[in-house]
Amino acid sequence: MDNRVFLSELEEDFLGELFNMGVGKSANALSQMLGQTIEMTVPDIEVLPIHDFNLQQSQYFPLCCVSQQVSGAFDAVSMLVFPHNTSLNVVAMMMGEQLPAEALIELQEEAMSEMGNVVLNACMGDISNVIGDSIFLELPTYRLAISDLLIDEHEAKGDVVIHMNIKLIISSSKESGSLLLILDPRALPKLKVVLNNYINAYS
Amino acid sequence: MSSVKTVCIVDDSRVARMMIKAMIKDKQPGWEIKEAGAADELVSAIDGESVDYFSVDMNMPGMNGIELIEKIKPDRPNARFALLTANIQESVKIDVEKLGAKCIHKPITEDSVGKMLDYFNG
Amino acid sequence: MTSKAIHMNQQFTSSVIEQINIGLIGVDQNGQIILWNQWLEKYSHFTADDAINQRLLSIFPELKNSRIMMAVNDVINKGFPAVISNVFNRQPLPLFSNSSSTDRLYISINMIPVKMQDQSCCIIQINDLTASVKRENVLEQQVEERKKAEAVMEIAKQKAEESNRAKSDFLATMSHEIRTPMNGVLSATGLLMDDHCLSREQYKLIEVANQSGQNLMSIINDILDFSKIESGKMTLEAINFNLHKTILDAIDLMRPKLERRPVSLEIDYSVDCPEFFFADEGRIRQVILNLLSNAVKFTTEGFVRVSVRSEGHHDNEECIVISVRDSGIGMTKEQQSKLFQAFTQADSSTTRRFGGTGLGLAICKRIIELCQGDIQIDSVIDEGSDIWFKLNLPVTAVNQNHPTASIEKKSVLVLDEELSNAATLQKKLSELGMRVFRVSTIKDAIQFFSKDRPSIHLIIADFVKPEVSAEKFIKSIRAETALKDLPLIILTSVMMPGDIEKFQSLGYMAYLTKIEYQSILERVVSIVMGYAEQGEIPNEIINYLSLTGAEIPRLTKPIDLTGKVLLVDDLKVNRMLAGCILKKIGFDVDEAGNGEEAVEKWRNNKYNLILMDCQMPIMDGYDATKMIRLLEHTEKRSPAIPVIALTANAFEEDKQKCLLAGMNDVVTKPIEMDQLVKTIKHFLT
Repeated sequence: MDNRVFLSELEEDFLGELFNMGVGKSANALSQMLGQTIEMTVPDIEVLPIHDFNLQQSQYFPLCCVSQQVSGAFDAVSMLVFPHNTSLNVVAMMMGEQLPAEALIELQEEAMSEMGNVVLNACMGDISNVIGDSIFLELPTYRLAISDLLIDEHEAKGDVVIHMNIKLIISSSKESGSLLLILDPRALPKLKVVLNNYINAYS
Repeated sequence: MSSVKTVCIVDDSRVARMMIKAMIKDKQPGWEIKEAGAADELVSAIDGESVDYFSVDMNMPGMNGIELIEKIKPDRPNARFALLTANIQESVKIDVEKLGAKCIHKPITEDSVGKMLDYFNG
Repeated sequence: MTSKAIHMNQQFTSSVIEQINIGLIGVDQNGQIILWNQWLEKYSHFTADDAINQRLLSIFPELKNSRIMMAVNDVINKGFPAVISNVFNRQPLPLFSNSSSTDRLYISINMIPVKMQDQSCCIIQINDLTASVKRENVLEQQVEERKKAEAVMEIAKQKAEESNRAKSDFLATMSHEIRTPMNGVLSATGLLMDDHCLSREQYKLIEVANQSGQNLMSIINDILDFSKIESGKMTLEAINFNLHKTILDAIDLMRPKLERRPVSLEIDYSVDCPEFFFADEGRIRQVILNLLSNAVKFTTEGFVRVSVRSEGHHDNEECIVISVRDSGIGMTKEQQSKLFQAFTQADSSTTRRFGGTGLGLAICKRIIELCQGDIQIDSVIDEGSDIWFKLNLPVTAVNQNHPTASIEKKSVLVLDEELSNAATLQKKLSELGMRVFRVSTIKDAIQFFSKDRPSIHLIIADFVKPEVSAEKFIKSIRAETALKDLPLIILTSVMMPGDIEKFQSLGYMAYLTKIEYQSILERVVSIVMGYAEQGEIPNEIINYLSLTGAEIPRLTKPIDLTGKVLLVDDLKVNRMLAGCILKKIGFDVDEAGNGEEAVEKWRNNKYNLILMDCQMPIMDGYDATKMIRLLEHTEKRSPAIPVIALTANAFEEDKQKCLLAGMNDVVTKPIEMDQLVKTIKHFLT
């Protein structure tokens, strides 16, 4: 499907830039929590059917997903996603002490929720600063997802998603997670207004 | 600041280039400004020309900002390089400084571009 | 809603807030506390009156610069909710389990932004996790203790395994070291025994030395086998073989050990059980020999019987049960339970009475287990023992298309000069449904036919002196026109070389020895009758060997090899012994003491064969052979000279190593003339 049906080249470009800046804040927050350097990838923006999006996720391995609903300047779901194993390692790094695997699993949900909350807040807070508009967030929900069902097709509001993905790579172990922003295409006009206000100021 | 300087903006985001360009023009109206959207584009954009300052984005597809500076800096010993990054971790800053470049944190604002120009002029 | 309803609703809401088992703090835009519910009064040492309108920091001064304060600011200023988990923020608020306690509560906090009258406020929710954290801690501790215990056990286990391995390695090395000199003793005494100049006295002494040496060797081989099994180094090979023949051979080997005790060695190979299998014959023979040797050792009179039957088949595999039963001294239940353990005999006193390492049955059990089989014992004290094992063996097809015919109600004449076998033979034939007539001399037999007798379908003859009588008898029978085509089977006690050809040329249709006949009598008779019915004569005389596909010992001079052999070995005694054997065979022998010398001699002389020891100083046999093969290639020498490895290690991996080095075959030490001849004949003809 053609991205431009939804967003112009400039709009997409700026959205990516915006997201990149936000994730920069997230990476910093994560870096401080883990005591590790975090590398980021270039944002990857795609518009595609939910079904295809789910298929695209690395098949059938369990993912830990912390998500926060976003509303206000635009409507989206923000997600921090780690493969289950990586998530355990991440929790272990955050705890900074030797804990048996059983204990890590016990702590995983709580720890990931807090971490997700901090990381996602950092990103959205920065975006909100740049666009000078309010963004509202809900409390994080944590779930264990089989990768090909990351977005529940029944819960989703449309049949396509615009998703942006930046990988966060832990330098020392090369393990990675993703920060995802999944936009509801029906709330797009709102977003376009926000983006264009900004773009027009400089062209 | 009487002389005319040439600055080259390397960023894969057109909006980012537009913003940086607008802000530089505002503060240094006489400067010549070149643009490149990627590393390979840069080579043809500045081939055989002297460039005084480079504003380089960190996160670009293909070659990233640090790699790009590492590559072109030896040929242009008198040029100054600013690396723009959203990654505000201390470790990134240290890496950039080791390279002999200035780390400028995004977002692109009057403030951050101002810091970059201070570095170029200072 | 009516005002009454609104009032009700407000009352209800505030009573929920007060009663709920969650701590609730409300903070307004200016950072002042506007809500402090009963839960907090209970756990914080502050009442609502103390707290309301105060700043959070003045109630909890320790929160200065804390994550909680930062989160509260974010909630109020940005409107972002926050999660403060117990995981990263251990006991972040001074809340206690009761008013006098100093035990802090474990809590988790959620902060939610709310708008009230255009003010951004923050609701702080506090959940008490103390009970579940304590449960977790206990669990963690248990896990840790379990892990510690497991680690200790793991170390102990590793140590035990290490020492076990060390023991096995030591045994293997030691056994190997003993085998090498023993080979010398056995070869030397063996050669001496072939010397015809010895006096009776001397011969007896040498025989004792040789016999003792062989006993020692078999003990060492047991130990070597056992340590190999224990260290997991024993592997199985598979070849095509005839199980029936394997067992008969094993029984033959046992016969001398009976030493005139009145014990009959019997085999009962079930007719419906296949004979040809694809499996590790060597290991199966080893088990059978072991069981037989035990049975023979512990039986003073009566019988030792090997029976083989099939318990059905699945796909291409037959489930075979082989049992060795004896009428010996038997065992108590307790003795039976220890039977398959290493280094134990049923009764430790038996070690002195009967000798042996007590390893035999332990080895058997492990071999059978390695073959995925099962071995069991039934025994009654003073009555005897029955040790049997069960294996699934792949069956191989036998390419033999003899015609067969029903033998029931057919008449057979048994001519039995010896009488010793007559009763058994008659019984067996009757069991097969044949009508049996018996005579005990050739004369009687001729007379039998001259009288008016029912027609006879078959004659089985057993002579005292077959070399004389066999010819005489068949000639007189064939002289009678009526009996011209009557099939004859000859039975002898032992097979001499050349017997088969001789009896075939005389016209006998089948030839059996007394050891064999019991098990294959039915088959032989039905094949013979089959040919007779069709009026045909088989190409080759029907005998046990032709039926089992074994090689027939021909009446030829076994040794007719000549040529020049280079014998390479670093030990002089080995060169001397092997040299003797080679000279006996008829070779010219040249010697070399190491690989380098061997290569040198090979370049300067012409040899027909090289016998190469493997382990040698300066240059070993593998390298020497590689060198020779390389030189052959570069100097374009042909034909390639056969190189036979001499090795004390009979393991398959050793053989592979030799073949990889370019050797043609392997002969194991001590060198036996038959084996050597068999191996080298192939390369010299």
